[in-house]
Amino acid sequence: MRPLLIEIAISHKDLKTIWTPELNPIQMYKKNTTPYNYIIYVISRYKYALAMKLSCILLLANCLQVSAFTYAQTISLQKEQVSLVEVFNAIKQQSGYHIFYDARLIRSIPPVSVNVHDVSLDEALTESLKGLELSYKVVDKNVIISQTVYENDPENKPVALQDSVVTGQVTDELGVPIEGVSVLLKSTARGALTDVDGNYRLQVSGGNTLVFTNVRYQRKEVSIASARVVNVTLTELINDLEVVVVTGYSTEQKKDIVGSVSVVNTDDLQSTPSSSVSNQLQGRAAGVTVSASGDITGGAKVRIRGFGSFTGSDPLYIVDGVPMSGGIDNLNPNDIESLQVLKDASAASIYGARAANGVIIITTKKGKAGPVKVTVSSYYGINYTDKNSFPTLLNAQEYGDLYWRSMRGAGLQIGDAGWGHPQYGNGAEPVIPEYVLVKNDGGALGGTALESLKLSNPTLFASMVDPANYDFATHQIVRAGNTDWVEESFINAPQQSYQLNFSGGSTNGTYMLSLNYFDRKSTIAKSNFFKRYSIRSNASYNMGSHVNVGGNVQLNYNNSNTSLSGASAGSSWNISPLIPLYDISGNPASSFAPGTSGEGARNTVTEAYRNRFDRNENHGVFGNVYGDFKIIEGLTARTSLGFDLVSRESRNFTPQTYEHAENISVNQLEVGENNQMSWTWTNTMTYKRTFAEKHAFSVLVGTEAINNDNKLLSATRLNYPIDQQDNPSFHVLNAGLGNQTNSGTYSRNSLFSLFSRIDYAYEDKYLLNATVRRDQSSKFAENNRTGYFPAAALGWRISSENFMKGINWLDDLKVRASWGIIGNQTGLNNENQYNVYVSDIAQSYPISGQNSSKSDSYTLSRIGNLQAGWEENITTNIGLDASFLHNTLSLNLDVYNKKVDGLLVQNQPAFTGATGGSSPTQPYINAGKMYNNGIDIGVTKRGNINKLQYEVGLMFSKYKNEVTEILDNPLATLVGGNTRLGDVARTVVGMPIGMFYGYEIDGFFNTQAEVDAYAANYRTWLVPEVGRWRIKDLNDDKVINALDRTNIGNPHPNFQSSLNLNLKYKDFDLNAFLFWNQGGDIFNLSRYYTDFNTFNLNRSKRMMDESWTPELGDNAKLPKLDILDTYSNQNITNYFVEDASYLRLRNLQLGYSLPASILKNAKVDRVRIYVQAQNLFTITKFTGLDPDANLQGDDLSMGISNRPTPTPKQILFGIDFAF
Amino acid sequence: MLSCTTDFLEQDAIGAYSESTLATPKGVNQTLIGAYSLLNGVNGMAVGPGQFLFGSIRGGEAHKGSATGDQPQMIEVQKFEVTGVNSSNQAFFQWHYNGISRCNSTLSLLAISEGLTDKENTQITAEARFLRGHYYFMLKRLYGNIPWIDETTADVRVSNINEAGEYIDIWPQIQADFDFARKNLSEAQKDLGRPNKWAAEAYYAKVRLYMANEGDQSGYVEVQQVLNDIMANGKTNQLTPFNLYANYHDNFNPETENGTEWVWGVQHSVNDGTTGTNPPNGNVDMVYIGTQSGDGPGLGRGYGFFCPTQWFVDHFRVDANGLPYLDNYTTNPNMVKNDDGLSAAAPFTPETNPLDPRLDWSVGRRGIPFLDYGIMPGQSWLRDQAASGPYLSKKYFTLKKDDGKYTARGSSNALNIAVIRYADVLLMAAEVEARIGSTERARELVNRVRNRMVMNSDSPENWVKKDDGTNAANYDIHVYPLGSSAFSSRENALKAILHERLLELGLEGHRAYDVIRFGQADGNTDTEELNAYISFESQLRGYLKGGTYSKVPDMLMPIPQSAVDNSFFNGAVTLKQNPGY
Repeated sequence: MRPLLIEIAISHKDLKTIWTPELNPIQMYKKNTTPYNYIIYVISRYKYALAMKLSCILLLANCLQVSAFTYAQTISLQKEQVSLVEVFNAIKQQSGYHIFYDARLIRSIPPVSVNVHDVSLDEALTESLKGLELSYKVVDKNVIISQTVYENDPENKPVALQDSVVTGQVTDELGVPIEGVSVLLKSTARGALTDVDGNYRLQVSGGNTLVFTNVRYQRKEVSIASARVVNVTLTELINDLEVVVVTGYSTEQKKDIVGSVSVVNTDDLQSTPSSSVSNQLQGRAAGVTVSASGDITGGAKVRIRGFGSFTGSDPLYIVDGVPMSGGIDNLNPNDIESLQVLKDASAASIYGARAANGVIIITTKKGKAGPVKVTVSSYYGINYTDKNSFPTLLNAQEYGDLYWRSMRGAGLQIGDAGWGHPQYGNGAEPVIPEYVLVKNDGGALGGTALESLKLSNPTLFASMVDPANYDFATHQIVRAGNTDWVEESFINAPQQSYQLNFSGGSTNGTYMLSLNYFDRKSTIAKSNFFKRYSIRSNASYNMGSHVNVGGNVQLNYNNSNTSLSGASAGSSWNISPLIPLYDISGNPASSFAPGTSGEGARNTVTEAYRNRFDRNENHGVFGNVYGDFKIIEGLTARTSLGFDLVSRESRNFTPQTYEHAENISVNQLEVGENNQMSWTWTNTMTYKRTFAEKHAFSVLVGTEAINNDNKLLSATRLNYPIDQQDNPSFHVLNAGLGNQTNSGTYSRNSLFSLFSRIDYAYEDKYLLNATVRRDQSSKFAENNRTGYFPAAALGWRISSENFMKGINWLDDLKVRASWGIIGNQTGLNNENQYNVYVSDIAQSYPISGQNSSKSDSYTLSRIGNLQAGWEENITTNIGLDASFLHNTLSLNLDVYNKKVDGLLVQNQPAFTGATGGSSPTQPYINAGKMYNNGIDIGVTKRGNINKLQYEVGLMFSKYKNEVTEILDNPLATLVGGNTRLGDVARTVVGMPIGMFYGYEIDGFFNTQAEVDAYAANYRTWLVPEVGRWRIKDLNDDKVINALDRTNIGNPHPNFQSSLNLNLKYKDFDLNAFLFWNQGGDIFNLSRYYTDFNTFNLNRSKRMMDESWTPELGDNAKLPKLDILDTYSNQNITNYFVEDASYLRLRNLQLGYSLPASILKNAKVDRVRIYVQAQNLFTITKFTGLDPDANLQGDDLSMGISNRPTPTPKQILFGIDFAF
Repeated sequence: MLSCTTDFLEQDAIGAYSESTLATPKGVNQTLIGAYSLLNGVNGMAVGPGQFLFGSIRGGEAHKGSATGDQPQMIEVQKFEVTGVNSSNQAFFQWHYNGISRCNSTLSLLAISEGLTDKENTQITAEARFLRGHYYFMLKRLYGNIPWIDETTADVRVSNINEAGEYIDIWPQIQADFDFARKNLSEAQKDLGRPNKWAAEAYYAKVRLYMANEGDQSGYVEVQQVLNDIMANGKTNQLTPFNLYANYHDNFNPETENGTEWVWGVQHSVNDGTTGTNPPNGNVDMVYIGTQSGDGPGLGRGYGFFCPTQWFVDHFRVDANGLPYLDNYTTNPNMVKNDDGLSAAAPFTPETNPLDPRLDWSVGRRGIPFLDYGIMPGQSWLRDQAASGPYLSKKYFTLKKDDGKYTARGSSNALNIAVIRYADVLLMAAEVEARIGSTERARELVNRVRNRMVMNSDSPENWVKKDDGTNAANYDIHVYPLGSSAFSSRENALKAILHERLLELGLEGHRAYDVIRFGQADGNTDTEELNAYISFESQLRGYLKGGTYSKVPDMLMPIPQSAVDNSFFNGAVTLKQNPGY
């Protein structure tokens, strides 16, 4: 009936018999309960690993004193030199009884011969087990085979305490009672289990030593001597090597993994509350680089072991066996049971296509057989931005002062053309005006004009600023302010989550049902929010003993407003401090005031309000249904149909504005719909068998078909009734009266794969794993469609060798090596293969000469490449796993080299063809090479100091990336980071991808003599002047030109490291998580806006204090203040490049669990409350908002920081209940 | 199973046409429309048909405008500090070679298409070659040394130097394209946007004139002959003989476009079913040059670029005889009065000295009606007067009353932009006469252009009027009298003609090209004019300080660095950078 049970490894030492009076089988019968059900009942009271539960089944069964029954049926056996298993099978066939046994027990039993005719079951069993140290028990229709325990071993004669009773309490090191410890009187069959309070009571006749065992704790033997009360403290045994983890289409024990796999501790992961698992992953796995932003959706960018592609290096996420294409951020992180990162080819290549950049395998929580368990978790917290982390910007008076200094710096004098400011007057010193703006029927009168009007025509002035004449559209009146926009813009934003889980099950199946509500507000835009409602149902049913079917399904609905336009962090930096929040009538005041306008500098407070009706709604169904079929012993077939359906709707209303520098004259509504449907059908067959006890084989073959569909629809209408633009009921397309536009696209791609995997282990000592996958992708033309991707890995468990036997401090030592190839096609458009001609209305022409008609065209919109084929990622990995000191110290080390051949690079044709604006999209061609090598180290130490339990985890990752070929052209560059300054980043052969590229500043011109000498010797675009920057003539040709640019910064970190500390003392627990990014550069584009005369934006204090003066000389950082300096901010220089190093306390959490003694009466298993602070401090020299910007933007543009929303700090309070 | 897999993995391009669709009469015709569609450039001021950046701003007619820090690469163009990585420069280069590529595609497709009559075949070839000639002309005069790519070129990595390492001159190929076009295009085309025979003749003459300026002296004779033919026989697509419009402003009004003065240019349309914030067939340059003021021209949603210089405005001063000052027009005492630095509230009286009436159709200045938008109020219509100076450009704005009719969202409008209008033909003819013919004949031709402004002075569409019907400013203009000293010598005549080109064609994207080709012909016009402009204007707008023009390298733009890099072929780059870069 349950062969699976027998497959579960049970350590031999657990097979000790225990006996406890409560487990009286007679009573069970009286209750009309089958022993099996009773066993389940017992299991349900245990909360430990499955292995322990199963051992309990056998243990209990072993001591059930059931009289022999007489069976009508008789058994005949005639077996010569056959395995005991075969005998059992025969008995089973004839009797209908199921026979339970631990495979290890009979592994070493030599072939037996049995010859009986028409005997009872008892006789048959007795005969079969004759001479073997095995006993049997018959329970109901089950036979349980166990090792014979000799109760009257002469060597263990009872000494003094015969027939006396010992009681006691078993606690852990923190004094918390442990339930379910088996207490065995050594060398007897007598034992007991501790109750919920850790108490036991045991007759100790026949022994003088108690053995305390529990799967979670170190075994302990205590001599009872004359004691009547024996209290014992057990040390927690942490041996996660036996943890079963999900890897490629199968599971394996962590200790047997020979590929490079990071098993992430999900408790640690979830200690960082977030809406998104990618965000939680930062620093949790060696070799995984995560970069988050403060954006409200909480998403983050994940890179595994550097970069594998120019077309996107996102890892593949597999959730419950299904690739999640609609974005991992839709997954409710609270549902995650386990998370593994597959990093090398041998581990990942079974996933073939899309696995090239690593695979993140997630399983969600499943129910366990037993009565319903309920857990409730919730937290509520506040996200806030530490305003001290902002660079200091100028206030209204300082801005004026700086402006005046800049005019003087340009050699201007009072009265000159160009002297003065539309707000601060034309005088010798800047004067803050009374009003910054009176709109005069469209025209904008600024402060200076109004001040002069005040003198020249007081009557007109009075009427202009008379509130009676106020009209928001035509006659706005705005007083001067002195606004600290950073202070006004950033707000404290709550975040909350409520999670309810039900789980349980029976022999027939298990279920897990979870509900979650997550709600987060934005720290920058008051109207922004992100809400997610999700429901997960994971269920599994046994249909008879051979078939198991189930499904894991998540439904989610997200409702958010993430519309920032104008309410961004950048706006709060840029907008002039002279602008108040509101005009004299309480309407938004903004950038229309003369002399204050500038790119995107908007009134952040009112922009957020304006956007309050914008919505994104996201409906998702994700999961799979599957069936497992046990065909014969060891052979399992599985079929799984996975689906990922995402439906997104967006509604973006752009109201008419009156006070913008770039007003929106016609309001509009844009509605978007996006439907994505992916399905994955996977079929696998696995055969597992151990031959001659030494050769453990497992073979897997499978097929997989994946189909992705994506539909987009978007529509816009202009001109909504102006008096209804604040009425969301009118925010439907049909209410618009003006121009209507629409667009829609559809795309599809598909994959078909065959794959196979073989695992072989010899005596658990030598491990081999080999995989091969054949992938076919619709993205390639038929002739190049198929790719074969092999991989292999070898492992050697040195610690299992005989010569290592004596080394007690070493528990496990394994070295492993792997090599493999993975194909990649991520990011490639399905139409890459085709020449695509379109009749695009944007490429039409009004050939008739009429003013409102056009003729259609055919243009080439995409050039196809029939030759494109798979990118090949070739990874070599050498690793070491070690476990020391009773598994309290573990080390994982991996060194790798990841080479990418046939890198898909977008063709860069000569500019004498069709390139640039409105030209066809160039195809991707296999014309690049790149490699990454690196090292990942993880070290964990656990232990205790008196009652303080600790666990320290250290993670270290370092990679080096270099591009070795692009497009057969040594001059070819892939540009990235398109900014107002031009293309900041450049990828070339011989360098890592995405290097910052520009001019190097060579100090200042400090004297006129230096200027003259320079002007005489150099031909240059720069204008040499005292106080300005010199630019290095790198090629020494006396001409400063494009050839003098060089790599001025490297966005890749030297290394990343993290420290995770868990402490537990009595009922308290503490988690601290530090993340350290060392090295690498950030291109701080924010400086372009705040440190130069760029638009009429607010300026930094830096500009005031660090601009060149004769006194500062070369100690200055910026050129002299000069209102006419247009060149210093025109070019990409190393002024913008800053060190990206930072050390951040990502997480600090303090928890308290109510003592079990209090909870017992309340029938609550666990109550834990905690407070937590995220990002409490960041130590960095970076002058921007958030140094964690390395991976923002696409890979060719990483590390460019353009005034992002900084990652907020967070304080939250949480509570967890378990019933 | 395997065949099932094949179907499963097969996914055609969606919403697209196959090549076979194109090799049909309809396919070829629509592909040709694709070649036209790049004329109305939507890729910013650098490639817009008005040649605002490389023609006008580079020639000193206008400032970049907007605010400091906005599109700083345009300042490099203005100050002759362009490097190979200038983004506007790169956009221009790529845009026009893309146009050439579309013309070549049309010609290649034509070769394999069936079902076209010989006549249709010839007509399409002629139009495609005309367009190709146009795109090449734009590139040739800006870069000089560029390779020739046509429908027979297999790999576009063609070198711009010969085996001896000398630059290859592709003027002859450009000439050949227009020669084919003028010999094969019909006189009347139903679609007014297509060039007719006479448009091709005019463009041919223009190309030959540039060639002649650059040293092919014999070409002047041919130019003279072709232009005379045009003036005698030239007709529009509607078979109306070419002539100047009665009113100057008719050139800048969608109501009157494609008329008798229209030789050939770029068609714009709005509300034609195209979509987007800036409809692709509209005059998208308006998005850049529109004002940011709610009641200002351009729907208040522009970026405030392209602001005329004081130096440009000063050209419009006239003497007591109603004639321009051909010398010392840029000296300070003669500056046309402006409101630079003056707030909109402060009182201001515009210039009272006599001015050429064309000024107020070209430039928006304080105190003068701006079309039907009312009196231009000064500072409040400028985005950042300190950066851009006190003026707005005026030729490309449509009337306020036509908002919605000739304008679309953003601030695009339907106004066509002429590449060659008849006034240009007359002035080219005058120039050739001055160079190789009779200065008297040159005077007559210049006077034909001036005479439109002299006549018809009561029309509010010819001389800008205030609401009360009086002239908006003290306008005065006369023709050059017989024996005028301005035409007393070849040299003087050319000076007068160059000046007249600015007055008549100002801000229409000609200036930099004109000055440089005049400099090609006489050796110094470009150096003198452009440096005089910078030294004058930099006193008013300090950011121009330090700019200087030297023939080498500034006569040509650098070939974009990426164009050089991407021309790598067989172990070397095939494009040689221009001299001095």
